[in-house]
Amino acid sequence: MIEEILDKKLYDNINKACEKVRGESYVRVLAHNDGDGVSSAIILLNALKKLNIKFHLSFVKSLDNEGFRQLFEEEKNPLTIVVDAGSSQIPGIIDYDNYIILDHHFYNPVDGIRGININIRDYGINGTREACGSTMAYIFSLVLDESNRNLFPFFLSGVTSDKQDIGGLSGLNKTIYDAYNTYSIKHTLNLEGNLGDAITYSLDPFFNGLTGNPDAVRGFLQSLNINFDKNILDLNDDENKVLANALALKLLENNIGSDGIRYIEGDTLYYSDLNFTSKELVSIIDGNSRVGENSLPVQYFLGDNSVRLEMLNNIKIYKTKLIDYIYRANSEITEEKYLRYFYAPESEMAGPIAGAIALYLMRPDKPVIGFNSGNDDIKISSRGTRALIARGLNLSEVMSIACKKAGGSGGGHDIAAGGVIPPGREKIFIEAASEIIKSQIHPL
Amino acid sequence: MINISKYDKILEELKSNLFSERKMKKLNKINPNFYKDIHEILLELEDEKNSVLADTDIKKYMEITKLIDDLKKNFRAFFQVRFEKIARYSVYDITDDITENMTPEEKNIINEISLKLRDYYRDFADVKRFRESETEKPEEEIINKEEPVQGINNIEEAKKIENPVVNKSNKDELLLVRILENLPPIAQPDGDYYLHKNDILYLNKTFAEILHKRGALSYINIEKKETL
Repeated sequence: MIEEILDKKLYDNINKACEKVRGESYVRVLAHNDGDGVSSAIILLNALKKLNIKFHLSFVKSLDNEGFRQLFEEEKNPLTIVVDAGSSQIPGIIDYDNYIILDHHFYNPVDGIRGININIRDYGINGTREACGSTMAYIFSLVLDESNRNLFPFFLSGVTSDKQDIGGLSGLNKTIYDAYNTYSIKHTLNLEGNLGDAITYSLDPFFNGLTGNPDAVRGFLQSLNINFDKNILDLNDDENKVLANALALKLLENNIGSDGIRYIEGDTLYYSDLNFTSKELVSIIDGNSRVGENSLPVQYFLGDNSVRLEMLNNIKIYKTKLIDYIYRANSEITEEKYLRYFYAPESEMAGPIAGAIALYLMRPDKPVIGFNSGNDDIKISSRGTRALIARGLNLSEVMSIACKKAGGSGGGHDIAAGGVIPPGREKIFIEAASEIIKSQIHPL
Repeated sequence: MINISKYDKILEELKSNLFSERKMKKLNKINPNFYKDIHEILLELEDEKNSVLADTDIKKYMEITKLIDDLKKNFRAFFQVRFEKIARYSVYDITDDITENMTPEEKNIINEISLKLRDYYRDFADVKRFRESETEKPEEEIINKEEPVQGINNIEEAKKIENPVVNKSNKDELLLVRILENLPPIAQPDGDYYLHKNDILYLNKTFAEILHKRGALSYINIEKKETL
């Protein structure tokens, strides 16, 4: 079936890569260390396991050519599959031929490539909205063996983690979803598990005053006559309606935009074979990555049940820290004419904090930027809203130009982008970013 | 559990010191144990924070981070006002009347700053010294060039410690493991191993057991679950 879905040239190139893999007894796998990369790793390792091919998975933290080459050369002889990264790092490994890259990020093509570089953008597919790392890993695993279709949940967790589901799936993601989804859809409130915990730990949506406040959640549910311990999937239609209305009111109290309100309910798939919903799976993969335990879900989904509790507990730990950071960052945010910014205590947290503030805690009229200042370079995350994108905002361009002006580099998506600048250059960055945003956003 | 009355007492002292420091042009006399008390209570709060985080008690966690925030905000304000004065004094010769209201830590700090400033001053003013320091640069380059050798030394050293007999290609002896911490390069008969936290890979049983004993890896038992 996958052969019929993919463009012939894309299929042929993936097939060529698969042939290479089939001839190996051992493969190195390098995956980007975010939720999309972890989802991709789960797909690839399960596919390799099925072929009885041994593997060594490592996560790519440093995307600069030198750091990437160092990681690659730690095992320079075996075939290496790089997923959710790699195309931009080819100059760092230009003298090698024993690699397969499965990427979706923007890159500048270079001459003299000796390995296999499969970047979805080279096939007329939008790598920002229509295919991500897990899409690449999933189609690769399907070409390898169509019976890998059962790895579908991890394709979707990667897509969601990479925010490619915002506004609905499109392009290749949608085609694959339609062709391979065998799970039933349930339209529910965007909450996970038991209601009390679900609202207390809810980040998306973030209910200002309820999120992070179990006593307030208890009172809130009592006032609606709904049991604190009831599972979200067990609510009847009336309870669902009452709760949805009350939560929507809570969001409206904060004067947030339609983007945020839209997230109050959504379609969830129930993965009966995994015993998780699609939303829970994303939380597991993202939450564990954010607390530095990327491979715990990989271990679990390779078939080791013994780490289940630890893996689930990490989500709560991550959310507890994040919710606390969100409230603190929100109370200390600096307001500029064209943007808002804050300092985050942990680099891995700046993105989600910026996202929650942009969507749920501030008027959706300006993008939110988070700085992480440690002893080294300053990492920056930026988040916008769909409404701002419609008015012309492109954070990928903002981060690319403003970071460069401040002596660093940046890029990403129109709605969410990141970058790095040298310490002490925040002011230059803010001034440059403000100018670009001013020129991009047209009046309502 | 954090002693809240102790916390309150330290915070009150901090606020009062901040108020006095802002009001007076000169340094105020403060309790010699002032910085030690602040540091200790912050350590206690940090321990408490980690403990409630492990219990995922979000309410307590947010209460504690608020206590930490309040203390740090006031301390930062105090530190800025106080050390603005100390930094100003450090430009001049340090005499007893300058240091008489300082805590032991502050006396150390002002001496360090003063020495550093004196060094910088000489760098600017003493041309001979400046030229000498320029000729020292090649030594730094030699040190940098030596860094890769350090890695090899680690491997060689590790070779002496580990001597498993099992070969990587012997499938029967391979175990699937998850690495729990970043490890230095380790040499084995079948090659050098570069193992990072979160790596998942197959290791021969003998080598895996050694790392397991050190708490550096967790075994992956893929027989336990049949869903995938």
